[in-house]
Amino acid sequence: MIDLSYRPNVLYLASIERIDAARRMLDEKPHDYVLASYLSGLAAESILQAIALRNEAPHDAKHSLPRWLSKCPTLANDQMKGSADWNLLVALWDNGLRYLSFDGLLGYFRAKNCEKNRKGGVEWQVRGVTKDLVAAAESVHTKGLAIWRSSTKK
Amino acid sequence: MAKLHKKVVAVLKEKLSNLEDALEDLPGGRVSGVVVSPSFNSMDHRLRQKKLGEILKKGLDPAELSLVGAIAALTPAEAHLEQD
Repeated sequence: MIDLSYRPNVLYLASIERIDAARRMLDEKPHDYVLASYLSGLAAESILQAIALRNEAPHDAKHSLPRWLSKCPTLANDQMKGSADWNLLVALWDNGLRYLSFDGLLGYFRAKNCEKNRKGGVEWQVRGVTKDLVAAAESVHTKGLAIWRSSTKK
Repeated sequence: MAKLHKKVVAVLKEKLSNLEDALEDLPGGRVSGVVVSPSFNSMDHRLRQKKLGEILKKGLDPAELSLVGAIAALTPAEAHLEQD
């Protein structure tokens, strides 16, 4: 297993690549909504890990976004915690998303009651929820980049 | 700053106002990281990536382009939290 605990810069750069890939999975054909959903949260997790590890936190929060955020400096908590984007990301993203098929993702979103009130067929519904999830992850990731940069300048 | 890094910044500065360079030189001559510009105001992330892609494709040759990794594009307000 790769030990990333002493490589926050690798995680920082990986987070930029993952959010870029998530956008491509959503925007370009053939669409892959499972990967778009998974990669967007992975990008957010990666930037949080980068910030936390540079803050000398131990690499022991597994894949829990709230636990990684709790290991980040106060500024990160102030910027992210409680925001609508953070709440949506935490509610919808799971590290196990990568194992799902399209129908598995549809079932997952239905279990979370987040495809309700969306018009169109199942693909349109899954696309709509995925789009919201990627947008929420983008927002969290952008804040993470700013926090990373602010700590780099010190 | 490596040669490709300098060229990427020069190409971007021609089209994006007040460009702030937070790109990194990576092993193998690759370049990746963050750029900040008010030109990204009112653009969503998708449009920003499209804009960056168009500028870099015009300004770099294919060999150079293959060495440019993912670049995150932020507005000054996003990049400098105190301005929020």
